[in-house]
Amino acid sequence: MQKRKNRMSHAFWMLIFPSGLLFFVFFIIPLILNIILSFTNYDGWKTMNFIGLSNYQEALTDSRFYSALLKTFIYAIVNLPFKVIIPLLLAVLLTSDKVKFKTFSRTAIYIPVLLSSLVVGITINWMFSQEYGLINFLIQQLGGQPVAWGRQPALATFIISLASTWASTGFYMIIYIGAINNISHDVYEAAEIDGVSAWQRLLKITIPLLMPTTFLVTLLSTVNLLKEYALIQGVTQGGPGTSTTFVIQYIFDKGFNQSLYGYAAAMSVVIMIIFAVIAFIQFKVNEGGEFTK
Amino acid sequence: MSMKKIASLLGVAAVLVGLSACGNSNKKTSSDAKESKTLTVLLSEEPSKTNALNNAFKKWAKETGNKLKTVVIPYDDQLTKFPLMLKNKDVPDIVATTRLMMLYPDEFTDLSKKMDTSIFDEKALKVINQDYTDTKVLGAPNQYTLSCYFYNKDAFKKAGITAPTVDNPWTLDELYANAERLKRDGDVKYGLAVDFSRARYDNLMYSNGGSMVKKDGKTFDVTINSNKNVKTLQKFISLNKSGVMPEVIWTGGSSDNPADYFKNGDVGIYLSGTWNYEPLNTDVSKFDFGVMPSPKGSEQQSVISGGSSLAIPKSAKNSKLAVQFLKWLYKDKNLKEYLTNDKGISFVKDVSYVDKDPDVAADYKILQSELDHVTDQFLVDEQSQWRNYLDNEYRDYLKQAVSGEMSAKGALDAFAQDLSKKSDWAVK
Amino acid sequence: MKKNKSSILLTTISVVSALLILFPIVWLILSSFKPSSELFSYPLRLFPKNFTIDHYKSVISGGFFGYIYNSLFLAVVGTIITLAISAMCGYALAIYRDSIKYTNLVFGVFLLGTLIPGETLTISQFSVISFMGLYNNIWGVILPVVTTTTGIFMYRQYYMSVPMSFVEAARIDGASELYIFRKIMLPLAKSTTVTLTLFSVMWRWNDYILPLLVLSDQKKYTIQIAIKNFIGNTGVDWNSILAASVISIIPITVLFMILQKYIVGTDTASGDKG
Repeated sequence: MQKRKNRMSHAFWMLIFPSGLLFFVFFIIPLILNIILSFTNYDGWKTMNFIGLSNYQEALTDSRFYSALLKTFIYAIVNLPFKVIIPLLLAVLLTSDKVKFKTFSRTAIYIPVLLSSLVVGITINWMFSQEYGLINFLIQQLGGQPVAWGRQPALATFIISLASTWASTGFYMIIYIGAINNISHDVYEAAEIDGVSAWQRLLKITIPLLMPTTFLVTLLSTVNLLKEYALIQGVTQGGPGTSTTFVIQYIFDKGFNQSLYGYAAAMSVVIMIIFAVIAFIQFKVNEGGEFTK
Repeated sequence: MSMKKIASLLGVAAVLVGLSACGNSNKKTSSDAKESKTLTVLLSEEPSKTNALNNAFKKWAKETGNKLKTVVIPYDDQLTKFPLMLKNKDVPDIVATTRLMMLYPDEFTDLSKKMDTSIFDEKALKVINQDYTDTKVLGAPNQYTLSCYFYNKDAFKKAGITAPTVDNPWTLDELYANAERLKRDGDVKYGLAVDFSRARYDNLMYSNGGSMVKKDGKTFDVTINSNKNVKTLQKFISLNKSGVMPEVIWTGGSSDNPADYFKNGDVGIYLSGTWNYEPLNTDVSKFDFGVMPSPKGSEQQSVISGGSSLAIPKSAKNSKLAVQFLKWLYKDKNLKEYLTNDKGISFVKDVSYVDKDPDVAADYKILQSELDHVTDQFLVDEQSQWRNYLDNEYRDYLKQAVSGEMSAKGALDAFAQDLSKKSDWAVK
Repeated sequence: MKKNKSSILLTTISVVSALLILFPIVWLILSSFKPSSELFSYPLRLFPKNFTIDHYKSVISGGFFGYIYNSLFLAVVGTIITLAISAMCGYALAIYRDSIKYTNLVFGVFLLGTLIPGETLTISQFSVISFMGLYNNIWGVILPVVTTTTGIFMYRQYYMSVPMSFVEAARIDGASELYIFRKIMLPLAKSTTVTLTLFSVMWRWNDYILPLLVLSDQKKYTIQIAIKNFIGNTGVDWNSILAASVISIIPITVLFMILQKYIVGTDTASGDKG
């Protein structure tokens, strides 16, 4: 028995080793390095002195940092429902027996997922350009006034949200489709015999049974919304003003554009802690959910 | 059996680790390859077929039998990437840049020791290298640029406006009034458009006598939030608000470019720079355009000059070859050809370029005369090298003022504080 | 009759949503065939008046195929490594969850990977890369990103659903642990492998920041860097950037079409999803 245990233990560590090694070298070490940097005034070049907690003190009193954080949270909270509900509805629709051309629709909805943030930005800009964009052209054709998409903070945030949801809907839809296909057909048949309406079946059976998947989608969307960076860089560059400068972009600006790597590192440590707490709360709310089962 | 499997797994791990080693050896062979004469050139944008600098490099390579290796890294990314290159001892032999030698002066070769740098126009040399104290020449100019006002001749005709002349320039107020008139009668969407760049906006500030800093003995005082400057910015904001200018450009949040607006005939007057002359000349077909002298503010006319230069990093492997290229480029014949291709203003004494097209030649006469309107305030600001501290931040504050997030005064005050904190200069 | 009506209605809703979602890309593609004079001229037209492939020609003559090759290499090699190590790791975390103490702890550490915004670690990550001598080396772009928590998670999820009796039976037959993994369990996870293949290829194909920092030789540039470089100092070269974007979409879409029935399922698919 002990011998078998040893053999299994061997195999376990052997199988974990490659991922573990690469993860340690390219993730854990940089993580530690980042924490060390956060106590220095490193400028990306020759200066690097330990300055204790100064960076953290500065971060905690930096009103722009707070404002970027606040904007990030608002953005994440407002968008989260769309990120979860739209894929869910599409998945339900595209698993229904009544719907035709499912393969086509699923494929079409998935294609934007394949694009890089850069290309998503280019595509969305091309649609929503103020002067020569297609959307403003159509609005004018219908007799309206061109909309200054980049001018109003709310509109600019809307464009980013639209782009972000557009590029992720297919991904989450596929996760939902997989989960719906795993729900036993018997449950539905029984309900149908009992005369439960289609709408009731959705609310009373499908959605509750999909809770673990919804948790997964919620967690992934939350983290991705909080991390939103490349897309914003491609669409609004943080404008108008600083109204779409979210926290990761703020850190990047400080680090890369102003060479305040130490300060940027300190802010990123703060962010990591905040993100971890949010994820932890979501776990707790779900009481462990699928992850730890 | 199981040992065999473990061994094969270890093999996988060994390959993974070995990859890094193999990486090293790859690198070595590539640097060995550099022993054959290959000049590594860092450019700032994907060169078009008519890019004068890139073509000059190509011609040189052909004439001398050397090889070229071009790397494109945009200006903004150069700031991130260059220190990484230095650390990894992987610098290009020659760099076309606007700011790198200013940020890393110790890392570049003093060209005055390698070639005759007295051929360069002194003012151009100072402005382009943004170096007013040192006797070293860290960059050899390859482009001398000025901010300049383009205008749509057709729109002017429609609105019944005659363009100003060198001897009789407009005032700033006339510029604004005519911009409004163009929007009303000139069949253009916007009377005036200004590139989203502080080096265009600042002309308005300088012409009203404002400045970023003032010299105070050996140090400087921050004057960016003076009343004059607040008023200039307020006017700028109101022109954006009233739609005389395309507001979306300066609020940020869009990738729209005023050059596209102008090319499409939607803008009456376009404040940009001389480097746009050649692209406009190629792309504009729907209407005629011209250049006009800068307007006079409450104090003076103003243009901002700048440019880019070719610099050789000290740790470059083929620095001799790079010097050889520079010497070749600044030979009379090659330089004339280069300037002609670039349609650029000359930065070399006694060499100038006259276009065959009389319209273009007339425009260049105006541009050449504008050289006199580089203001003292601008030169002092440049000497202070404030941009080493907070170049992007300044534009971000202006952006926030135009977008209405901050007031004009609030934005300039906040920037003055930031600059003062970074530079240890007092706010006056 | 009633059933038929609702079927038409639901089909219409789904097809219209799909077309709306697809439309921006169609617009991008159609625009890329317009001559530059048409790009910005009102009134806009859906189809190009004078169809041209000049933009494609000029992008390709600028050496774009070289960048495609680099990106392909990166994607293929990176994906092979990702598949191998994720399957190993996910399998181990699932199958040994009851017999080895630390499995959940190890999994927890990997989960850190999704919670922490990797972008903020870029600079420290770069320091490690250059310390290892992987600067300006294609491996410096591949190795740091091949470990993906998502991949490990997907395999772990799959193997959690496989009855342990499979493994027990094989053990009783005397098969070694690694034999069980390679010959019995790995082939079972086909649908997970296919899905992760697409994800991984897509991620590597679309990588931008790391290649930008690590690669300094134009010959090694990837497709995303090449596209970004069309955003010049004085404005976006729309002609080239539209064509380049379209070219960049093609290979990944082709791959998706090939694997599509595994990823999105088919009309008849039910309950066979792993």
